Amino acid sequence: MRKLQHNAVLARTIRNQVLWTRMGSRLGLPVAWVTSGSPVELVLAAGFIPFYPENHAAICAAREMSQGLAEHAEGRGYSRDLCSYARVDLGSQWTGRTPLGRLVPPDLVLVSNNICGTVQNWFRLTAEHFRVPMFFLDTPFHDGPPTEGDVAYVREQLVAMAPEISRVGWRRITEDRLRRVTERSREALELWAQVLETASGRPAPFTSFDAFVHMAPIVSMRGTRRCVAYYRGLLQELRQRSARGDSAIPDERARVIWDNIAIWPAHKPLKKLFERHRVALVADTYTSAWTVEHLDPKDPFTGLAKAYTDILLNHGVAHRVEVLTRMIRRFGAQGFVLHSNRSCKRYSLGQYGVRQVVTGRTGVPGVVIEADMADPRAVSMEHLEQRLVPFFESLGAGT
Amino acid sequence: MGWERLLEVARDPVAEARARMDREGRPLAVALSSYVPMEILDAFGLCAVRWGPVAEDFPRADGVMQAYACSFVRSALEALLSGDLPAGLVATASGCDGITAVPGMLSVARPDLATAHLRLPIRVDGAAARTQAGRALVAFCEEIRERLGVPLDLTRLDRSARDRQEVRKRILACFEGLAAGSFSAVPAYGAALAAQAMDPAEWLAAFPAEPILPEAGGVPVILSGESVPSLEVIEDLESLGLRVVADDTNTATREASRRVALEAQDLVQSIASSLVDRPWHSPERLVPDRPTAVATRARDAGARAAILLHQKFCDPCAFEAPGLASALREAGIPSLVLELDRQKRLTGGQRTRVQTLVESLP
Repeated sequence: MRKLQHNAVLARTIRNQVLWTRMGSRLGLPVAWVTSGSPVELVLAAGFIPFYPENHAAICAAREMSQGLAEHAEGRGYSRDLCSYARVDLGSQWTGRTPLGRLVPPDLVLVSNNICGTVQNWFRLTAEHFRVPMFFLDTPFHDGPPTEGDVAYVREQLVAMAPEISRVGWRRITEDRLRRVTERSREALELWAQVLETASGRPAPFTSFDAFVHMAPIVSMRGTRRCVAYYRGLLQELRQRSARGDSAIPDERARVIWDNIAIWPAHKPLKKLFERHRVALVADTYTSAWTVEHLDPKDPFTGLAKAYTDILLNHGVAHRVEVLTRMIRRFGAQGFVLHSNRSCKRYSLGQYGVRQVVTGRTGVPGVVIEADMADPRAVSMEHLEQRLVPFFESLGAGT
Repeated sequence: MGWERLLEVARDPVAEARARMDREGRPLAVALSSYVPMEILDAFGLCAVRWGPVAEDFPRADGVMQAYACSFVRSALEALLSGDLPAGLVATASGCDGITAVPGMLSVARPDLATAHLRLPIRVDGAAARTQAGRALVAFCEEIRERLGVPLDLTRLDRSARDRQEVRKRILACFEGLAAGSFSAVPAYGAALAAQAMDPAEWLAAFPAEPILPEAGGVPVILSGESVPSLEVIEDLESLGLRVVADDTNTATREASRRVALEAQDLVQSIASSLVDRPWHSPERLVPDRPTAVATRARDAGARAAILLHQKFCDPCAFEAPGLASALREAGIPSLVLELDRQKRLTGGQRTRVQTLVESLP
């Protein structure tokens, strides 16, 4: 199995992004710390460099720094039951320790509760720590498509915050600038959707373990030309691999879908476990959460309001059942794995019901594994193997 | 009648809910948030109760949700799945991720059970939030109408809104009396807990004119937290030498402080606005400087310590606790977090911690 050439491109891209953030900040460009579900297009249009604390926490976990940082936050009274991304990131802010060398402090924070209720507390603490303004986008939770009233409410907030963000920013947000940024976001998101779609081929040239890593630019650079260029390149490489019949998993024996955030502290061993059993993780609900459909350069505010209200985690169980069912059919999966993530109640509560309904509809079995996205103390590789190996064997896959 | 009746209901609200259903012959509506306006449920001809008690074991709830959800949500699910609470409707409101997940979980575990979710804004500032709350409440009413096939009775709404407002005013007066020494905490919380389960007109008829005065002594404290799980917890705190002089809980002051403009032309919008404009909010709403406001209230009431009564796995409380403790400390008020999990009363360890707090006070 050959490694993706784009792994090296990704490393370079991320490194450049970190350097650009530092350099831009030195040159006087403002920095915005934003949640992954925030309408980053607004801050980009105002000339900010965005930084994603969730991404940062994932990097801390992957580099085995998360436990110490989380413990620092716990020492300040923040319960171990709280989101590990929040604890890790706050620990990093308060200690100054980061695998990125140095964090560039924000000039503002932008938060949307479309991914969970935790971020508003986490980012409020961030804003207080750095003494910068916090902009909060309230996106009503719903089942089914957002109502006109919901979209109007979100749009109204976006329109109201645009001049305020402009005031802190480097330049004024104009409809024209917002249109251009939105167009780039839309283009990048379309390319990303095509990248993910390549895994529907047999054999899959790419798995969700790759997607978990290669999603970084769509999270942290959407709205930029660099992001578009990155996914053009990645898509081209994956199409070439597909054309050659290259497989991410040699002798692919089973295909499964993943639900929830990656288990960063066990990313590599888990990837190896899947490979050893010839199981291809062909799609997931996490990386595809960014396939935002509604972005509309002709009416950017309404498009942003729709897109950021319609994010996966802002929906109830019924929608998530639909998404998983669709993925199982589209990617020809024989099973699905639900990561019951201690740190993410929004994502995890309801999974037992999701498993029951999806299996009932598709006849495809699912397994729930208990872990955490960033806290290694809540991740046991032994437990994961005990749950996954029999599941893989039941799918006809084995070492 | 009188205190005896209110305290009896407060001690066993589930029994009262079942008895009311039998007595009134109306379907039971269970609200799982202090942000669900009970007057709306009354106006649909439902026997409306707010969930509050905590169970000690939840085998059925554990089958549909993970153990890292708070006991409040798991207890409510247990009661609904076991049939202890034979609900015809479950009403939730946006807020924490645990409660938000309930309708989805019930849609699988109890597809026969009607649910309605009030999608209130999380931000509570300005006209946009009020407008959105109005839209959300109209949609919530529409959802109930569709699920149950009954219309909203505006005459009943008017009556219930008045009765419930009067209930809230009297509860708030009880709690304002704590600091002045003109009211005792057990009956005050008893009145608040009973109001969650009783018909408002019956509650008003039962509410006695004479207060129960507190006994002399006791360390004055403020009690903060989401939901008071039982009257016994208050009795436990009092037995350890504490005297609650100020409250910051959903069970009592936060909800009781809500005021509806009853003479407004559009009563539904007025109720919606009251949810956004209530003076005291839960930490899951975006309220600037809530810890400072709570600390000021504690100081004004003469509290010498604070008890933060939290449910384990309650994210909004856990996030707020360090900041709240810090604001209280700056006001010269030490605090103690008591994290309750699957329990109605304080554990031995928690009692010891309270005693240590009391002994350490100057």
